[in-house]
Amino acid sequence: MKKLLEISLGVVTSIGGFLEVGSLATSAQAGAAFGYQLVWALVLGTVCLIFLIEMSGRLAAVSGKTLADATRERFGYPYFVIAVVAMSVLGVLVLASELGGVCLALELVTGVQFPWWSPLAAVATWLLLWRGTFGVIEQGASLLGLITIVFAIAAWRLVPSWGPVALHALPSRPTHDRARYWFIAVSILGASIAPYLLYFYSSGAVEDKWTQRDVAINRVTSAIGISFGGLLALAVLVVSAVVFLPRGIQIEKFEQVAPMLVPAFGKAGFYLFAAALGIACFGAVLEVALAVAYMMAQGFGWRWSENARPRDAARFSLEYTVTIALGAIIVLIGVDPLAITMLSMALTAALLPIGIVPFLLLMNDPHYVGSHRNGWVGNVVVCGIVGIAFVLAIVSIPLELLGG
Amino acid sequence: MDLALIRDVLDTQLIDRDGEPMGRVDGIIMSWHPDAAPRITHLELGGVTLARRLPRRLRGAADWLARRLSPRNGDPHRIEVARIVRLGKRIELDLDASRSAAHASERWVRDHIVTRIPGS
Repeated sequence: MKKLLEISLGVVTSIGGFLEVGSLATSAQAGAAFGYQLVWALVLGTVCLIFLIEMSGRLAAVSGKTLADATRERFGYPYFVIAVVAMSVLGVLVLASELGGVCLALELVTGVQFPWWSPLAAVATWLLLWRGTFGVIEQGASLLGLITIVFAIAAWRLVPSWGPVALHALPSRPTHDRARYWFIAVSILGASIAPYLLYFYSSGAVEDKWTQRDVAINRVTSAIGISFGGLLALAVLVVSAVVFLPRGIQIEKFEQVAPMLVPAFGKAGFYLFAAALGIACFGAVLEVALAVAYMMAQGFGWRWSENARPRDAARFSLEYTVTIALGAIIVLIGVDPLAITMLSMALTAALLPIGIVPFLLLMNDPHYVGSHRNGWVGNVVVCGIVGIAFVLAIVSIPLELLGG
Repeated sequence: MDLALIRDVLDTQLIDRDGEPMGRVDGIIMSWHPDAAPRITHLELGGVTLARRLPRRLRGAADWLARRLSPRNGDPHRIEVARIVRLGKRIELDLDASRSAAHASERWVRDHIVTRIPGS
């Protein structure tokens, strides 16, 4: 039973963190504009995330420390400040994207414009953090998040043959819109390899009191959980390719993505899409808000626990409250959700090395992980993919901003 | 046991006698007299101590911010090394966090913001 619960941490991390507005938007855009051609970016992102999540669980299980703890201790305060500022700014932007996703889902169902839903959605997520415990959030979100399986069912119904999909697991050069192609590739990588997931997952492992005995199950959890999320994102991409590409629909507004499931499910598909979008993004808001608060509280040595009452972890609770409030303001002033999503995902890719490079050094440091150090495969895979994401981001973000 | 001050002590999590977290070692104070051996006397905590560790250009702004945010005008809080009970992955102190000045801002946030919100 305990093992089942642990796997649920993997699945919740995956659903809340993987299939959320970022992956939905980037995969849908990729499919509509380039067919199956960007499948490789999704594969790279998923593989990299499996390794990283496994590492952050292993760090917590072996050393009893979260990623934020270890970053501050090993690299000192001046470095920690850079990381915490970058992650907080990024966190607010990503949270605004996710909250925008919840609000858009509500707009799709009710017809009331999305900014008006911002305060309600923000209060609902905040209330769950304020009153709920980590277990409630973890199990509730993973159970409800299963609705995102509708994308997999749609893909299974609609895709005529999987050969061409598999063919694009290897990168290829674009035939048109080169700047756009690389920008979407970067955004997919940023949406997949979200660093806040690492802070969340290692904190969750400490909240659930993992020990060295959990190292093996952690490997299974991260592989299953993240692959599950990766397959769902792949399903979104291929469904989008089948539905939008032949009709020549370019995704410029989020509302255009909404009919995506109609060919597979008929009219119900519209509501299934709204439900999947709303629930997946709701889970992601919880995760991002907690990740920012965890990182801040752990780095400064404050009391932190989602299981404590807010008055017993005052600064921690204030931190997630402020993060949600700032995100809600961005949504409320009506910033285009698709634009902020694409930008925050690409920025994530550009800022990845700030979080990942010290993390890799830690995972190779016997002082922290003893004999459970990284093997060379993990080091090479993560270095390679993060390197690719960083270089692509540096090249393509200016191009997108100039061109867009 | 030999300890490397920067690696093993600086930035390490502090916990009180009940295991409650009470900040991290933000600075280490050493006393020195010409006719005596140098001696580590205190661990220092606080935003002002942290500000001093930043690059020169950021120091002024960080110091100002730390003083503004601190309920005690930011004077660093010093803990005598005699209070250290155990030094390891965390540093255990023979203190009560809830009464310590290290928790002044935690208390301030709790009493002025968090407990005023229902359901806290």
